[in-house]
Amino acid sequence: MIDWGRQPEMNDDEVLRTLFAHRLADEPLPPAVLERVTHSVLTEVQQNLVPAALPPVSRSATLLVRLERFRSWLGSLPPNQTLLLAGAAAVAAMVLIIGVSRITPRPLTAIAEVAGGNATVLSHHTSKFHVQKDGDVLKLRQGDQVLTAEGAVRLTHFPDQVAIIEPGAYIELTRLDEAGGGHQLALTLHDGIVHSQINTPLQANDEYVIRTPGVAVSAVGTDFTVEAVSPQETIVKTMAGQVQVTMGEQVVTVGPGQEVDAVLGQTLKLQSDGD
Amino acid sequence: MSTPAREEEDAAEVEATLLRRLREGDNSAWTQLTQVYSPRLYAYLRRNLPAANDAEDALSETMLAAVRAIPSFDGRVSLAAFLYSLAYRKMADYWRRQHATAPLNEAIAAGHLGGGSAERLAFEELFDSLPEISRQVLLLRYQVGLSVSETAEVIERSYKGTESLLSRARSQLRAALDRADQEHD
Repeated sequence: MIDWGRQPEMNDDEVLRTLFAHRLADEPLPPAVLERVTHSVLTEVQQNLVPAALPPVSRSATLLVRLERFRSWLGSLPPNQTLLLAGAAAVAAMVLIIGVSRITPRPLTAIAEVAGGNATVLSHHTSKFHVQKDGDVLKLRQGDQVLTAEGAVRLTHFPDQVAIIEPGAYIELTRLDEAGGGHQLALTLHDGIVHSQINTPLQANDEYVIRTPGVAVSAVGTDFTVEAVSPQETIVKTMAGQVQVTMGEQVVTVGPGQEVDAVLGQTLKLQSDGD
Repeated sequence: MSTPAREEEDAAEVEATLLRRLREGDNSAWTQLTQVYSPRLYAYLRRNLPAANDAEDALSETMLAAVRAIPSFDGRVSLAAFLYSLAYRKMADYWRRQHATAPLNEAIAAGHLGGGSAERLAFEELFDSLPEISRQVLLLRYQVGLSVSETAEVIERSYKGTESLLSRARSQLRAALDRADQEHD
Protein backbone atom coordinates (compact mmCIF):
# COMPACT_ATOMS: atom_id res chain seq x y z
CA MET A 1 0.00 0.00 0.00
CA ILE A 2 1.07 3.52 -0.65
CA ASP A 3 1.17 6.19 1.95
CA TRP A 4 0.58 9.27 -0.14
CA GLY A 5 0.92 11.47 2.90
CA ARG A 6 -0.51 14.93 2.92
CA GLN A 7 -1.93 16.05 -0.42
CA PRO A 8 0.23 18.83 -1.74
CA GLU A 9 -1.19 22.24 -2.54
CA MET A 10 -0.63 22.18 -6.29
CA ASN A 11 -0.09 25.90 -6.73
CA ASP A 12 2.76 25.94 -4.29
CA ASP A 13 5.99 25.63 -6.29
CA GLU A 14 8.05 24.71 -3.21
CA VAL A 15 5.73 21.81 -2.34
CA LEU A 16 5.92 20.51 -5.88
CA ARG A 17 9.71 20.75 -5.93
CA THR A 18 9.86 18.80 -2.67
CA LEU A 19 7.44 16.20 -4.04
CA PHE A 20 9.57 15.70 -7.16
CA ALA A 21 12.79 15.60 -5.16
CA HIS A 22 11.43 12.86 -2.89
CA ARG A 23 9.36 10.81 -5.30
CA LEU A 24 11.37 10.85 -8.54
CA ALA A 25 14.75 9.16 -8.14
CA ASP A 26 17.67 10.48 -10.23
CA GLU A 27 19.95 7.86 -11.69
CA PRO A 28 23.58 8.89 -11.02
CA LEU A 29 25.92 9.40 -13.96
CA PRO A 30 28.64 6.70 -13.93
CA PRO A 31 32.12 8.31 -13.43
CA ALA A 32 33.47 6.53 -16.55
CA VAL A 33 30.75 8.15 -18.67
CA LEU A 34 31.54 11.57 -17.23
CA GLU A 35 35.21 10.98 -18.03
CA ARG A 36 34.36 9.97 -21.60
CA VAL A 37 32.04 12.95 -22.15
CA THR A 38 34.63 15.37 -20.74
CA HIS A 39 37.26 13.90 -23.06
CA SER A 40 34.98 14.25 -26.11
CA VAL A 41 34.04 17.82 -25.17
CA LEU A 42 37.68 18.89 -24.77
CA THR A 43 38.57 17.28 -28.13
CA GLU A 44 35.67 19.14 -29.76
CA VAL A 45 36.79 22.40 -28.11
CA GLN A 46 40.31 21.94 -29.51
CA GLN A 47 38.90 21.35 -32.99
CA ASN A 48 36.22 24.04 -32.99
CA LEU A 49 37.02 26.84 -30.61
CA VAL A 50 40.78 27.13 -29.99
CA PRO A 51 42.25 29.64 -32.49
CA ALA A 52 44.45 27.96 -35.10
CA ALA A 53 48.21 28.51 -34.91
CA LEU A 54 50.01 30.51 -37.57
CA PRO A 55 50.56 28.47 -40.73
CA PRO A 56 53.99 26.80 -40.34
CA VAL A 57 54.84 27.39 -44.01
CA SER A 58 54.94 31.18 -43.63
CA ARG A 59 57.17 30.95 -40.53
CA SER A 60 59.58 28.61 -42.29
CA ALA A 61 59.66 30.82 -45.34
CA THR A 62 60.57 33.88 -43.25
CA LEU A 63 63.32 31.97 -41.47
CA LEU A 64 64.79 30.74 -44.75
CA VAL A 65 64.94 34.27 -46.17
CA ARG A 66 66.76 35.50 -43.06
CA LEU A 67 69.25 32.59 -43.17
CA GLU A 68 69.94 33.24 -46.83
CA ARG A 69 70.71 36.91 -46.10
CA PHE A 70 73.05 35.92 -43.23
CA ARG A 71 74.85 33.37 -45.45
CA SER A 72 75.43 36.02 -48.16
CA TRP A 73 76.84 38.43 -45.57
CA LEU A 74 79.20 35.73 -44.17
CA GLY A 75 80.35 34.89 -47.71
CA SER A 76 81.43 38.49 -48.23
CA LEU A 77 83.76 38.46 -45.15
CA PRO A 78 87.55 37.68 -45.45
CA PRO A 79 88.63 34.25 -43.89
CA ASN A 80 90.32 35.68 -40.74
CA GLN A 81 87.23 37.76 -39.87
CA THR A 82 85.00 34.74 -40.40
CA LEU A 83 87.05 32.65 -37.94
CA LEU A 84 87.08 35.46 -35.37
CA LEU A 85 83.35 35.87 -35.71
CA ALA A 86 82.71 32.11 -35.29
CA GLY A 87 84.82 32.02 -32.08
CA ALA A 88 83.06 35.05 -30.62
CA ALA A 89 79.66 33.59 -31.47
CA ALA A 90 80.53 30.29 -29.75
CA VAL A 91 81.68 32.06 -26.55
CA ALA A 92 78.57 34.28 -26.56
CA ALA A 93 76.29 31.26 -26.98
CA MET A 94 77.93 29.45 -24.03
CA VAL A 95 77.65 32.53 -21.80
CA LEU A 96 74.01 32.91 -22.81
CA ILE A 97 73.15 29.27 -22.09
CA ILE A 98 74.86 29.34 -18.65
CA GLY A 99 73.26 32.70 -17.78
CA VAL A 100 69.76 31.64 -18.76
CA SER A 101 70.00 28.36 -16.85
CA ARG A 102 71.09 30.27 -13.71
CA ILE A 103 68.45 32.98 -13.78
CA THR A 104 65.47 31.02 -15.03
CA PRO A 105 63.70 29.34 -12.09
CA ARG A 106 62.82 25.73 -12.72
CA PRO A 107 59.06 25.23 -12.50
CA LEU A 108 57.99 23.53 -9.32
CA THR A 109 56.39 20.16 -9.80
CA ALA A 110 54.53 17.54 -7.80
CA ILE A 111 54.93 13.89 -8.72
CA ALA A 112 51.74 12.06 -9.65
CA GLU A 113 51.31 8.34 -10.21
CA VAL A 114 48.19 6.83 -11.79
CA ALA A 115 46.95 3.60 -10.20
CA GLY A 116 44.11 1.24 -11.05
CA GLY A 117 42.72 2.93 -14.18
CA ASN A 118 42.85 6.01 -16.40
CA ALA A 119 43.00 9.64 -15.34
CA THR A 120 42.76 12.78 -17.47
CA VAL A 121 45.24 15.58 -16.82
CA LEU A 122 44.59 19.05 -18.15
CA SER A 123 47.86 20.98 -18.39
CA HIS A 124 47.55 24.65 -17.46
CA HIS A 125 50.89 25.36 -19.16
CA THR A 126 49.96 23.97 -22.59
CA SER A 127 46.14 24.00 -22.34
CA LYS A 128 46.23 20.43 -23.63
CA PHE A 129 44.75 17.39 -21.93
CA HIS A 130 46.25 13.91 -21.78
CA VAL A 131 44.74 10.62 -20.75
CA GLN A 132 47.20 8.90 -18.40
CA LYS A 133 47.09 5.15 -17.98
CA ASP A 134 47.52 2.88 -14.99
CA GLY A 135 51.15 3.04 -13.79
CA ASP A 136 52.03 6.33 -15.56
CA VAL A 137 54.20 8.72 -13.54
CA LEU A 138 54.08 12.41 -14.40
CA LYS A 139 55.02 15.82 -13.09
CA LEU A 140 52.21 18.26 -12.35
CA ARG A 141 52.63 22.02 -12.24
CA GLN A 142 50.61 24.77 -10.63
CA GLY A 143 47.25 25.18 -12.39
CA ASP A 144 47.09 21.61 -13.71
CA GLN A 145 43.79 19.76 -13.27
CA VAL A 146 43.19 16.05 -12.74
CA LEU A 147 40.01 14.07 -13.40
CA THR A 148 40.02 10.48 -12.21
CA ALA A 149 37.68 7.79 -13.58
CA GLU A 150 38.07 4.20 -12.33
CA GLY A 151 41.66 4.82 -11.26
CA ALA A 152 43.21 6.89 -8.48
CA VAL A 153 46.15 9.33 -8.59
CA ARG A 154 48.82 9.46 -5.86
CA LEU A 155 50.27 12.94 -5.58
CA THR A 156 53.46 13.70 -3.61
CA HIS A 157 55.29 16.94 -2.99
CA PHE A 158 56.63 16.86 0.57
CA PRO A 159 58.83 14.08 1.96
CA ASP A 160 56.68 11.28 3.39
CA GLN A 161 53.43 12.85 2.12
CA VAL A 162 50.85 11.49 -0.26
CA ALA A 163 47.46 12.79 -1.42
CA ILE A 164 45.38 9.99 -2.88
CA ILE A 165 42.86 11.39 -5.37
CA GLU A 166 40.17 8.73 -5.28
CA PRO A 167 38.29 7.45 -8.38
CA GLY A 168 35.61 9.83 -9.65
CA ALA A 169 37.28 12.99 -8.31
CA TYR A 170 38.16 16.32 -9.91
CA ILE A 171 40.97 18.44 -8.49
CA GLU A 172 43.03 21.47 -9.44
CA LEU A 173 46.58 22.14 -8.26
CA THR A 174 45.96 25.72 -7.24
CA ARG A 175 49.26 26.46 -5.50
CA LEU A 176 52.71 24.94 -5.83
CA ASP A 177 55.18 27.40 -4.44
CA GLU A 178 58.36 28.06 -2.49
CA ALA A 179 57.93 31.09 -0.26
CA GLY A 180 59.37 32.15 3.09
CA GLY A 181 61.82 29.25 3.09
CA GLY A 182 59.04 26.66 2.91
CA HIS A 183 57.02 24.75 0.36
CA GLN A 184 53.33 25.36 -0.23
CA LEU A 185 50.89 22.95 -1.84
CA ALA A 186 47.17 23.71 -2.23
CA LEU A 187 44.62 21.54 -3.99
CA THR A 188 41.09 22.61 -4.85
CA LEU A 189 38.76 19.64 -4.73
CA HIS A 190 35.78 20.36 -6.99
CA ASP A 191 34.22 16.93 -6.64
CA GLY A 192 34.94 13.56 -5.00
CA ILE A 193 37.35 12.44 -2.31
CA VAL A 194 41.01 13.12 -1.51
CA HIS A 195 42.71 11.10 1.23
CA SER A 196 45.90 12.66 2.64
CA GLN A 197 48.73 11.16 4.67
CA ILE A 198 51.56 13.30 6.02
CA ASN A 199 53.76 10.97 8.05
CA THR A 200 56.58 13.42 8.74
CA PRO A 201 55.38 16.73 10.16
CA LEU A 202 55.84 19.66 7.79
CA GLN A 203 58.37 22.42 8.51
CA ALA A 204 57.40 25.79 10.02
CA ASN A 205 56.80 27.62 6.72
CA ASP A 206 55.42 24.67 4.80
CA GLU A 207 51.73 24.67 3.98
CA TYR A 208 49.44 21.86 2.89
CA VAL A 209 45.87 22.92 2.18
CA ILE A 210 42.89 21.25 0.53
CA ARG A 211 40.09 23.59 -0.46
CA THR A 212 36.56 22.83 -1.56
CA PRO A 213 34.11 25.49 -2.80
CA GLY A 214 33.32 26.54 0.77
CA VAL A 215 35.95 25.05 3.05
CA ALA A 216 39.73 25.10 3.57
CA VAL A 217 41.41 22.18 5.36
CA SER A 218 45.03 22.64 6.45
CA ALA A 219 47.35 20.16 8.11
CA VAL A 220 50.94 19.84 9.25
CA GLY A 221 51.23 16.14 10.04
CA THR A 222 48.26 13.84 9.90
CA ASP A 223 46.05 11.31 8.10
CA PHE A 224 42.74 12.69 6.88
CA THR A 225 40.09 12.58 4.15
CA VAL A 226 38.25 15.45 2.46
CA GLU A 227 35.09 14.75 0.47
CA ALA A 228 33.43 17.45 -1.65
CA VAL A 229 29.89 16.07 -1.53
CA SER A 230 28.45 19.07 -3.42
CA PRO A 231 29.39 22.74 -3.88
CA GLN A 232 27.56 23.38 -0.59
CA GLU A 233 28.76 20.44 1.51
CA THR A 234 32.16 19.06 2.50
CA ILE A 235 32.98 16.20 4.90
CA VAL A 236 36.37 16.09 6.65
CA LYS A 237 37.45 12.99 8.63
CA THR A 238 40.69 12.73 10.59
CA MET A 239 42.26 9.34 11.30
CA ALA A 240 45.44 10.61 12.98
CA GLY A 241 46.89 14.00 13.95
CA GLN A 242 44.85 17.15 13.59
CA VAL A 243 43.55 19.33 10.80
CA GLN A 244 42.13 22.82 10.88
CA VAL A 245 38.88 23.36 8.99
CA THR A 246 37.95 26.90 8.01
CA MET A 247 34.58 27.93 6.60
CA GLY A 248 34.13 31.70 6.36
CA GLU A 249 34.75 33.06 9.85
CA GLN A 250 34.37 29.66 11.53
CA VAL A 251 37.42 27.57 12.41
CA VAL A 252 37.42 24.14 14.08
CA THR A 253 40.19 21.67 14.79
CA VAL A 254 39.35 18.10 13.87
CA GLY A 255 41.23 15.53 15.96
CA PRO A 256 41.78 11.76 15.59
CA GLY A 257 38.52 9.83 15.12
CA GLN A 258 36.54 13.01 14.59
CA GLU A 259 34.73 14.34 11.56
CA VAL A 260 33.00 17.54 10.56
CA ASP A 261 30.20 17.92 8.03
CA ALA A 262 30.59 21.47 6.73
CA VAL A 263 27.42 22.80 5.08
CA LEU A 264 27.56 26.37 3.76
CA GLY A 265 25.52 28.73 5.90
CA GLN A 266 25.38 26.35 8.86
CA THR A 267 27.47 26.02 12.02
CA LEU A 268 30.47 23.70 11.90
CA LYS A 269 29.83 20.75 14.24
CA LEU A 270 32.36 18.14 15.31
CA GLN A 271 31.31 14.49 15.57
CA SER A 272 33.28 11.62 17.05
CA ASP A 273 33.34 7.98 15.93
CA GLY A 274 31.02 6.99 18.75
CA ASP A 275 28.39 9.69 18.03
CA MET B 1 23.93 41.28 4.08
CA SER B 2 23.39 40.09 0.53
CA THR B 3 19.93 40.57 -0.94
CA PRO B 4 18.32 38.20 -3.45
CA ALA B 5 18.66 40.91 -6.13
CA ARG B 6 22.37 41.26 -5.37
CA GLU B 7 22.84 37.49 -5.44
CA GLU B 8 21.08 37.39 -8.82
CA GLU B 9 23.42 40.10 -10.16
CA ASP B 10 26.47 38.20 -8.86
CA ALA B 11 25.24 34.96 -10.44
CA ALA B 12 24.67 36.75 -13.77
CA GLU B 13 28.20 38.15 -13.61
CA VAL B 14 29.69 34.71 -12.88
CA GLU B 15 27.71 33.22 -15.79
CA ALA B 16 28.80 36.02 -18.17
CA THR B 17 32.45 35.38 -17.27
CA LEU B 18 32.02 31.64 -17.75
CA LEU B 19 30.32 32.22 -21.12
CA ARG B 20 33.21 34.43 -22.30
CA ARG B 21 35.73 31.73 -21.31
CA LEU B 22 33.65 29.04 -23.04
CA ARG B 23 33.57 31.07 -26.26
CA GLU B 24 37.35 31.51 -26.08
CA GLY B 25 37.73 27.72 -25.93
CA ASP B 26 39.09 27.72 -22.38
CA ASN B 27 39.55 24.03 -21.52
CA SER B 28 39.16 24.68 -17.82
CA ALA B 29 35.79 26.40 -18.33
CA TRP B 30 34.54 23.55 -20.51
CA THR B 31 35.70 21.01 -17.95
CA GLN B 32 33.82 22.93 -15.25
CA LEU B 33 30.65 23.16 -17.37
CA THR B 34 30.77 19.45 -18.23
CA GLN B 35 31.40 18.40 -14.64
CA VAL B 36 28.58 20.54 -13.27
CA TYR B 37 25.88 19.94 -15.86
CA SER B 38 26.47 16.38 -17.11
CA PRO B 39 25.04 14.61 -14.03
CA ARG B 40 21.90 16.83 -14.13
CA LEU B 41 21.40 16.48 -17.88
CA TYR B 42 21.92 12.72 -17.62
CA ALA B 43 19.25 12.47 -14.89
CA TYR B 44 16.82 14.39 -17.13
CA LEU B 45 17.65 12.34 -20.24
CA ARG B 46 17.54 9.06 -18.31
CA ARG B 47 14.02 9.88 -17.18
CA ASN B 48 12.96 10.42 -20.78
CA LEU B 49 14.82 7.68 -22.65
CA PRO B 50 14.33 3.93 -22.25
CA ALA B 51 17.90 2.72 -21.68
CA ALA B 52 20.99 3.99 -19.89
CA ASN B 53 23.14 3.83 -23.04
CA ASP B 54 20.58 5.92 -24.95
CA ALA B 55 20.82 8.59 -22.23
CA GLU B 56 24.64 8.40 -22.31
CA ASP B 57 24.69 8.88 -26.09
CA ALA B 58 22.19 11.76 -25.88
CA LEU B 59 24.28 13.40 -23.14
CA SER B 60 27.42 13.15 -25.25
CA GLU B 61 25.60 14.57 -28.31
CA THR B 62 24.16 17.39 -26.18
CA MET B 63 27.56 18.47 -24.85
CA LEU B 64 29.18 18.29 -28.32
CA ALA B 65 26.30 20.33 -29.74
CA ALA B 66 26.94 22.88 -26.97
CA VAL B 67 30.58 23.28 -28.09
CA ARG B 68 29.47 23.85 -31.69
CA ALA B 69 26.62 26.21 -30.76
CA ILE B 70 28.37 28.34 -28.14
CA PRO B 71 29.85 30.89 -30.62
CA SER B 72 26.32 31.78 -31.78
CA PHE B 73 24.71 31.59 -28.31
CA ASP B 74 23.86 35.20 -27.39
CA GLY B 75 23.46 34.72 -23.64
CA ARG B 76 19.88 35.99 -23.75
CA VAL B 77 18.80 32.96 -21.73
CA SER B 78 20.73 31.14 -19.02
CA LEU B 79 23.33 28.48 -19.77
CA ALA B 80 21.02 25.97 -18.07
CA ALA B 81 18.17 26.79 -20.48
CA PHE B 82 20.62 26.63 -23.40
CA LEU B 83 21.86 23.17 -22.40
CA TYR B 84 18.41 21.75 -21.61
CA SER B 85 17.13 23.07 -24.98
CA LEU B 86 19.86 21.08 -26.71
CA ALA B 87 19.09 17.99 -24.59
CA TYR B 88 15.37 18.35 -25.35
CA ARG B 89 16.12 18.42 -29.10
CA LYS B 90 18.47 15.40 -28.86
CA MET B 91 15.69 13.54 -27.07
CA ALA B 92 13.20 14.47 -29.81
CA ASP B 93 15.76 13.32 -32.43
CA TYR B 94 16.05 10.00 -30.64
CA TRP B 95 12.32 9.35 -30.68
CA ARG B 96 12.06 10.42 -34.33
CA ARG B 97 14.83 7.92 -35.20
CA GLN B 98 13.02 5.16 -33.34
CA HIS B 99 9.76 5.74 -35.29
CA ALA B 100 8.18 4.67 -32.04
CA THR B 101 4.93 2.85 -32.51
CA ALA B 102 4.38 2.56 -28.80
CA PRO B 103 3.33 5.74 -27.00
CA LEU B 104 6.35 7.54 -25.61
CA ASN B 105 5.30 7.20 -21.97
CA GLU B 106 4.88 3.45 -22.29
CA ALA B 107 8.25 3.08 -23.96
CA ILE B 108 9.89 5.09 -21.19
CA ALA B 109 8.10 3.20 -18.46
CA ALA B 110 9.03 -0.15 -20.02
CA GLY B 111 12.75 0.45 -19.62
CA HIS B 112 12.69 2.68 -16.65
CA LEU B 113 14.86 3.06 -13.62
CA GLY B 114 13.49 0.28 -11.46
CA GLY B 115 14.43 -0.14 -7.81
CA GLY B 116 13.42 2.32 -5.14
CA SER B 117 10.61 2.32 -2.65
CA ALA B 118 7.00 1.38 -3.40
CA GLU B 119 6.05 5.05 -2.97
CA ARG B 120 8.58 6.14 -5.55
CA LEU B 121 7.66 3.43 -8.04
CA ALA B 122 3.98 4.25 -7.66
CA PHE B 123 4.64 7.96 -8.16
CA GLU B 124 6.84 7.25 -11.21
CA GLU B 125 4.07 5.11 -12.71
CA LEU B 126 1.49 7.80 -12.03
CA PHE B 127 3.78 10.51 -13.40
CA ASP B 128 4.54 8.53 -16.57
CA SER B 129 0.79 8.21 -17.20
CA LEU B 130 0.47 12.00 -17.68
CA PRO B 131 0.44 13.45 -21.23
CA GLU B 132 3.96 13.86 -22.63
CA ILE B 133 4.01 17.67 -22.75
CA SER B 134 2.70 17.82 -19.15
CA ARG B 135 5.47 15.48 -18.01
CA GLN B 136 8.08 17.65 -19.74
CA VAL B 137 6.95 20.99 -18.29
CA LEU B 138 6.64 19.52 -14.78
CA LEU B 139 10.09 17.90 -15.02
CA LEU B 140 11.77 21.05 -16.33
CA ARG B 141 10.06 23.31 -13.82
CA TYR B 142 10.07 21.22 -10.65
CA GLN B 143 12.78 18.60 -11.01
CA VAL B 144 15.37 20.45 -13.10
CA GLY B 145 14.44 23.75 -11.41
CA LEU B 146 14.17 26.03 -14.48
CA SER B 147 12.09 29.21 -14.31
CA VAL B 148 8.88 29.51 -16.35
CA SER B 149 10.67 31.62 -19.00
CA GLU B 150 13.56 29.13 -19.19
CA THR B 151 11.09 26.24 -19.51
CA ALA B 152 9.37 28.15 -22.32
CA GLU B 153 12.74 28.50 -24.12
CA VAL B 154 13.42 24.78 -23.85
CA ILE B 155 10.06 23.63 -25.19
CA GLU B 156 9.97 26.51 -27.70
CA ARG B 157 6.63 27.94 -26.56
CA SER B 158 5.60 31.43 -25.49
CA TYR B 159 5.76 32.44 -21.81
CA LYS B 160 1.95 32.60 -21.58
CA GLY B 161 1.56 29.30 -23.38
CA THR B 162 4.02 27.65 -21.00
CA GLU B 163 2.25 29.09 -17.95
CA SER B 164 -0.97 27.64 -19.27
CA LEU B 165 0.65 24.26 -19.93
CA LEU B 166 2.09 24.24 -16.40
CA SER B 167 -1.26 25.06 -14.87
CA ARG B 168 -2.94 22.23 -16.82
CA ALA B 169 -0.12 19.81 -15.92
CA ARG B 170 -0.47 20.65 -12.21
CA SER B 171 -4.21 19.98 -12.40
CA GLN B 172 -3.61 16.67 -14.15
CA LEU B 173 -1.05 15.65 -11.54
CA ARG B 174 -3.40 16.61 -8.73
CA ALA B 175 -6.24 14.63 -10.28
CA ALA B 176 -3.98 11.60 -10.71
CA LEU B 177 -2.80 11.89 -7.09
CA ASP B 178 -6.42 12.17 -5.91
CA ARG B 179 -7.41 9.05 -7.89
CA ALA B 180 -4.46 7.12 -6.47
CA ASP B 181 -5.42 8.30 -2.97
CA GLN B 182 -9.02 7.13 -3.40
CA GLU B 183 -7.86 3.71 -4.70
CA HIS B 184 -5.55 3.48 -1.68
CA ASP B 185 -8.41 4.29 0.72
